[in-house]
Amino acid sequence: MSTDTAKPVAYRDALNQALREELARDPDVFLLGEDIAGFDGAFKVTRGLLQEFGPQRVVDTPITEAGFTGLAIGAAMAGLRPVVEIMTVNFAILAMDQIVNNAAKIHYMFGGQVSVPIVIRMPGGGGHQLSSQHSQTLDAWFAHVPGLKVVCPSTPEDAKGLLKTAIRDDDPVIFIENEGLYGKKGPVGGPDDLIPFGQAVVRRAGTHCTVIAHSRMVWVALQAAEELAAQGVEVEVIDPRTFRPLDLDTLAGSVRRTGHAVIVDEGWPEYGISAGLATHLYEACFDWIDAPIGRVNCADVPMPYAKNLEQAALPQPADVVAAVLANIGRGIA
Amino acid sequence: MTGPGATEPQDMRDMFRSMLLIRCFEEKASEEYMAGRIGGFLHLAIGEEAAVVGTVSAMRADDPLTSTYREHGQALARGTDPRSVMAELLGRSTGLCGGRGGSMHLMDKARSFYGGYGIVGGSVPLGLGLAYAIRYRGGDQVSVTMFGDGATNQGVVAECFNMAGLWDLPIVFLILNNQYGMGTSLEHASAEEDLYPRAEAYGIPAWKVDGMDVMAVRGAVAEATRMAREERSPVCVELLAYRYRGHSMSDPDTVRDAEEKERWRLRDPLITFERVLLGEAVMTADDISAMRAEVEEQVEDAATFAEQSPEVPVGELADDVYANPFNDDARGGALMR
Amino acid sequence: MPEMFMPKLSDTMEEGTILRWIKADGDQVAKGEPLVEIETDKATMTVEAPDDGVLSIIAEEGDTLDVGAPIATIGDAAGAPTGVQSVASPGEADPIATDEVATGIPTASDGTAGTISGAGTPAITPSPAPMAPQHAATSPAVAPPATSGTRIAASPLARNIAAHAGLDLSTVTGTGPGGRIVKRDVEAALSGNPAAEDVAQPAPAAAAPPVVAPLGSAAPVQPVPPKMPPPVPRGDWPAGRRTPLTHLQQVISRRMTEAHQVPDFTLERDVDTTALAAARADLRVALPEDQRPSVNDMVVRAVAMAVRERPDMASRLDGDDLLVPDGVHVGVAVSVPGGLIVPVVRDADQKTVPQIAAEVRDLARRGRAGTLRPNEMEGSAISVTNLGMFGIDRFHAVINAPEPAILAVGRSVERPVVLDGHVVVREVMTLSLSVDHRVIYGAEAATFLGRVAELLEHPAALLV
Repeated sequence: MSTDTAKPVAYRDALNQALREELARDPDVFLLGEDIAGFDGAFKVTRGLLQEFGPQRVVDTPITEAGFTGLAIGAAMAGLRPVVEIMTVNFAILAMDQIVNNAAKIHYMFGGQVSVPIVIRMPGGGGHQLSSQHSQTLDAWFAHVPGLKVVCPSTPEDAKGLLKTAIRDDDPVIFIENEGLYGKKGPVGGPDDLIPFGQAVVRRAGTHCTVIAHSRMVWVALQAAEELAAQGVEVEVIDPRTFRPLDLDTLAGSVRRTGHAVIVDEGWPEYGISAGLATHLYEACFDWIDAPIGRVNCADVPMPYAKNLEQAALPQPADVVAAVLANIGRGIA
Repeated sequence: MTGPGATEPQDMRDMFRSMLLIRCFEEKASEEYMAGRIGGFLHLAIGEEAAVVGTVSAMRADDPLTSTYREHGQALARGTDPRSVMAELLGRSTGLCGGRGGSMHLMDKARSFYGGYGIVGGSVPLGLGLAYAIRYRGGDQVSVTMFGDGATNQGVVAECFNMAGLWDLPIVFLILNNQYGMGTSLEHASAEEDLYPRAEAYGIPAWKVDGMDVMAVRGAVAEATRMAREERSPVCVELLAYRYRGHSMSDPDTVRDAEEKERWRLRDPLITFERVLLGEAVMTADDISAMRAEVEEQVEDAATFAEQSPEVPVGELADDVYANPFNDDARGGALMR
Repeated sequence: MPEMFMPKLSDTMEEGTILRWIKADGDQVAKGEPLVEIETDKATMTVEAPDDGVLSIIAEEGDTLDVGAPIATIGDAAGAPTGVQSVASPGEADPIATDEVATGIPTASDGTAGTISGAGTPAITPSPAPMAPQHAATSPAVAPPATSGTRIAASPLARNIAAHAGLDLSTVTGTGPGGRIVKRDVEAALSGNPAAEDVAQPAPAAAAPPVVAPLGSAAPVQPVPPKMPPPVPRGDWPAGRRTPLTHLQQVISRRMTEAHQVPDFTLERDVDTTALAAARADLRVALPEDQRPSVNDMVVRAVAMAVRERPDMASRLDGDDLLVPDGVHVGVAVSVPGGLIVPVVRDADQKTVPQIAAEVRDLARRGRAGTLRPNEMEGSAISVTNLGMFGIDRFHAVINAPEPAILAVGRSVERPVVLDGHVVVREVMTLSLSVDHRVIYGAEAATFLGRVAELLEHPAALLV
């Protein structure tokens, strides 16, 4: 695989580059997860790494999420830098005790004696007719927990640069990819291009309304922005990229300029990412907003299988367009 | 204490002193709890001293140890200053973990004690991960992870048996079977009263020993760590023991039968080991009295130290949430500062 | 002839305006009954009848009279006065805030003014006014009945702009969802043009008239021009929106002009606030929210401590005498809608930082709501003013005469500093001390400012 930065690279291959470069750079880095070695990973993110780094560094585990996640946390306590792949975020629920009770607590609970430099990678999201148990967006579960860092890359460049930062970070990092993004192509950085946590990025500039979106929803928001531009509405699309830490300054700065905000979140609406962001923005921008903050979320239902129902449940560009128009007080034609 | 091998008289005296220290410390902790100076849960290991000291005495000083929340003894046996343990129990700034962990979460990394954990079974994969790191780096240490009979019914423990057997990790699974998960007896909780065969099912050598006999425990764990170290094999040892107090200070211990408690009282590991020491002339009665007095003084000193130690500054509330922090304000939550 | 005189209702009050006689000429009044509303330089006060009798009004509503001028008599039924009565003393006056439209002074509509009829909608909603639930904005038809006036649905941004411009939102028609007043409505009202879509119409929709469909409403609401008085051009002045000064603004204008006669000079000094920031961070964890000190609260404390050590810094010119006031009372400048007030932290040298923080917060809140008592805005020995929160690095303040000095506080910001021969990054804040040169001289002022700086650089000293 090429690391030529000029050539567009798929999101999965950008992740692969990050893993390869970090495996080569630091002998303490190793990968483990289900079917990541011989099978190249369920989403082919780890393709070729077994051949290059051997079974010591690229380890197939049994189907035992709590067990291997806990094992990796223990190895991290000993100073290794494990990168765990949980096949999808849905299976991370089995490992929640290890993630929340151990990884997030150990540095604090023992007075800073040991850190837990682990990365737990997993894709979330729906849209592939996988029904209720395989289509969840649980970013908020992790973002709720102090002691974790939570990263949600939306582009190949971010996927690579943020994963490299995550591997070098001394804290447990929950790295949430999206099943719908693995084929997305774009430019990526080189081996030394790290993207720091806590820096939101403006994906598209605009003046009428701020649209905040992360992961796959960035692309939904950008499509909506195109449609809105055709109607004379220029929205500013901002991608927070990380939720712990959160770059509120950039989000709030934009909302203060536009006076309007719509949050697009593939997770459920109740008590989630969009709710948390809205609270921060109300607190930071109260005297600047010209309308209540709008939200576009997954419908508040377990994900259905039927294609039409699934599409109805997921945020679509048209939903974002409608939310923006309502927010700025424009009639919906 | 150095690792396994022939047990010299000095080893036996050290082990006895360690057991005395744990017993005396636990009784003092009980007083401190009732005086309201220790909060939360306080799980005492009175009765389990032989299991704890026998295990630790058979380990090398650089062998990592993990434990449950009933772990004051593990820290003391590993040589942690009783002052900093008691100060942690009282939530003071001089505590082992700066008042963050309390009774259930002691850790002394400098002595390779990797902590006590509060979720039953949840610490076992951590011990396995420490073993994984040893093998990854080509070290010759052995990870010892202690857990109770209750934990053996948690799925994650079975997951760990499987991975240890699958990958031949250098770990000793030490089941401290005190026969009760809180108030529920083993026979009410387990389909089979012997627990070590569960490890055998994953191809792990396993056996059961008398956990009230410190020399037996030491011998068994010595052999287990030898196998794990030299034969690169996981091993499981089940120690049959009994705690004389309820599950925690808040447990009135009315469930357990008085006759049963009395029967186990006769096998108090301190009394039985004292007989051995006297019988083998390792110590005299005067030696033992002197040692007891010295230990009591040490524990009194620890309690005084803890009581006189300052509280943790509230300004440190949000310290150490992250190793690489991004803000300094506990109430700032996730915000980058 | 027993008369009521224009009362002195604050230490700086020189004249007052009769806003409203609550009782009519010839009415029988009872001692203690609310009689007349008087606007002072700081607040609107209700003055009670000093005795029983028949009211005979001398000063008409709208009259502005010097303190001590007769405003009424109270006599027996035959018109004879019942006895010599002076004015109600400030201490007895009921400091109930009133809702008053005409003056333009924003006061809280807190329902306690119910004894005074005619209370209208507040001209400007003070920023801390409690917000009604948003459903009131989206469903105006079911808006809960308000105790005084009708609640205006307006976005926070619209309220903010209107407050700064002195625009009465009740004169503005909302075109947002549910008829909510939004930014474009306020801007339209200020420019005199009807609200227009601030977004260009798309080509396909250009033929259709702009329709703003409020959420949940069946019929589109057509924007109507706001009810604004027509501009009155005068002389060579360009046309524009003209508003008479409020009483508060008149007072500020006059006193600032007077203060500028004072021959003053200003000293500046940078203060390293790195330790101060750390101390604040610690206190933030240790203290309940309403006691967490701002930088300014710490400055107030430092100034108070320094004045206690050097009382001559508060000495003021009083005729041919120098007057050193008793007590270290520190004024804290607070911006309010349409002006500036200086509430006073009494005996600030005797108070802890958390006490000062809580008190300043309370004074500022009530100042903005217009419910401060006059005696809470008088007697300061020295004042502190701060524009750091607006990103201002340094500024020179006008002395709040008759005080002899005012300390202007800039923002605390990271700057490169040379320390022991190395350039390091420290948090630094600039203090500017302006003093009355008739009573305070250079060396004294410099020593004083140095002491304030020293205290701020050693914040533990502020906490003892």
